[in-house]
Amino acid sequence: MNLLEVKNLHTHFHTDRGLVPALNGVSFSIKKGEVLGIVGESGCGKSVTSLSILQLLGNKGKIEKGSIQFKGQELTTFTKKQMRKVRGDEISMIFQEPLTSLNPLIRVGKQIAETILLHRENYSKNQAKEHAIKMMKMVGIPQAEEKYSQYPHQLSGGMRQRIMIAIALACNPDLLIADEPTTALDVTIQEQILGLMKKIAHETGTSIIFITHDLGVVAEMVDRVIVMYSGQVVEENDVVSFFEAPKHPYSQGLINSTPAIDQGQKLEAIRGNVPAPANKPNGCPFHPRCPMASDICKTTVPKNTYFGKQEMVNCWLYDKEAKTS
Amino acid sequence: MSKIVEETAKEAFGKVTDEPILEVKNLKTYFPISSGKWFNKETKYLKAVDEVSFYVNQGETLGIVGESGCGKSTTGNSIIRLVEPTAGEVWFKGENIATMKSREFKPFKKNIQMIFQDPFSSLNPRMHVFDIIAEPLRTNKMYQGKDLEQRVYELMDTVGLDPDLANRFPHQFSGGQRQRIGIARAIAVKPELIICDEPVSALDVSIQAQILNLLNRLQRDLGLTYIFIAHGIPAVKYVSDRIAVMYMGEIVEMADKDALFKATLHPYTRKLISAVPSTDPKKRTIGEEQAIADELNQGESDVVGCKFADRCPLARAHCREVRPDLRQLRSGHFVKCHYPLEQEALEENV
Repeated sequence: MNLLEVKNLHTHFHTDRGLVPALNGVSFSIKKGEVLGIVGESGCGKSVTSLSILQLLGNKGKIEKGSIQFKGQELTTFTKKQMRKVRGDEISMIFQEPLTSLNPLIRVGKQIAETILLHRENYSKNQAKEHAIKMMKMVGIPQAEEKYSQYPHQLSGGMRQRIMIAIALACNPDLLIADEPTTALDVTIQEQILGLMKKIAHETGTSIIFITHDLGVVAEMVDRVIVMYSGQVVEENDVVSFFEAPKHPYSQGLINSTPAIDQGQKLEAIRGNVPAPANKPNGCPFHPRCPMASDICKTTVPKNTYFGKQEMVNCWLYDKEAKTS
Repeated sequence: MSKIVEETAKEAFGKVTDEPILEVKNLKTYFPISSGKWFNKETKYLKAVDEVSFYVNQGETLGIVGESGCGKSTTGNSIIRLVEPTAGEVWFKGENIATMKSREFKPFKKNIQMIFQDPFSSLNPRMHVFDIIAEPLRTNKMYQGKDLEQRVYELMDTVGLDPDLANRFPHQFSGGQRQRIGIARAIAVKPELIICDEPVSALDVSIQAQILNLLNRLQRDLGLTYIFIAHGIPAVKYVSDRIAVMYMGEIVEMADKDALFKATLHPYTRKLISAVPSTDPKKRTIGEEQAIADELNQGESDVVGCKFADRCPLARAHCREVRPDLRQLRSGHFVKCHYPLEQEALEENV
């Protein structure tokens, strides 16, 4: 059984300037112990997807349609109180910028202990502190006892991200959502954090959703990739096939425009920009930037084409080649 | 330099000449930091740039890479004196611009332009794009009236912006387009050297490629020389002819691009390169053993020996006692290390 199954998710934001359809029918699933990568450029809906799962959309965002099944439960029907129990306990999240996600006035160790006390009622304060120090050691923080009583500003970016990971893992969640966890870090520190996350996935069997725009991180970390564009999933594949033979022209564009450390090829840029969610083009949202676009792409939204169980592409180019769903 | 090396170098660089357009010698930029005590007379310094020397040849791109806080941006800012250097020389076209009076420096300033990282904060939000691009032309009294208009439209066209958009404000453009505005402003006064400080770090990958390709095209068409400062190693590798690696205010290795990646001499450079994730999922390099914390010690260091010794897997006692000098091990390949990775290279040149 899948740990998480998202089906036909539509999330809209009701802003002062009108309706912004951020997600338009996103479907994917993740198995126990799997690492799933969500890639795409800014404005593609990657982060909104994760915020929808956790229902952290604020008062302007709303899930309009679709279902989110987590361990067989329908999360979209959960009340705020029920969701609060899920967050941080069964599903937790690591954000991009650890300095803004940590409370600057509370000692970092206490922030870890707080999460434990909130979700584990049978823990005493001392037990929670002990557990927090154990977590800090697990994420590789040297002199954990000493660091326990330091404030976030006293720690470096890499250390802060380790604290975030310790908070996220404190209650041993089934699913960890990591939203650009290493984007703000230097490459040598990124290497350490990625190594740490590999270790965690290996030791605890936690499923991870890895949201990133860095294809190097994707190649390094994930088992399966979904590519998002303009609030939709345009391709889904296992990581090796994805890099060897990307199907969607957008995936191909992303790979060709990423400078690689071990190749010296000329970069092929994707022309144009990601459309704003409020004014999407008709037909396939990628067609104005697509080098292969034909007339049908301009008028009609393509259907998903499946190749086996794992592989999916949302593009007219593949429509005749396989059975449409 | 051996003849063969010289010839291949010329072939590789095309129009690049051996004439350095810019030569930086022992550049130091120190920032005073308060010591925390009130009447403490002794001021401590943060050595942001500490005895940095390098040269840039006409028409080439010198990449400067390093992690945040290594002093790469301060180096760029010191060259055009956005930050006043503490000591050292900056020779640009035969003049030492580091010690000039600001009035004397002005004509040189026009020849060195800058492109900044954040296209959101480096453009005046209250100015039309036209005025943003026209401003350096007006300040330097290069064009007036119809000619000015003509020149601005021409520049917009050159960087791939629709001249019809000249009357819009920066917020009406996307990040990539804003970076194009910044580039148009930089090339407006026909500079010879452009310092690009993290020009693509804030952009999405597909847009990054557009901007990198634009910079390459402009270099070819206008004969520009670039100093390309960035922390993204693949991007630096893509645009640069030669690369300098900085660590804690010092250049630790500098070489032709290929030599730097294929015959790496400094342990820090190797660490930096190996930390970059490969885009091939079958070549995963990051292991679980890398999870151990190992942090850059920031700030004022009174390290006597090599500044990298504490993190260096190959450090010996000697490294902690004596600071190594930047020396040339092969033609054009400089390294600041007592025990460089390729020992045979050392023996060859002793």
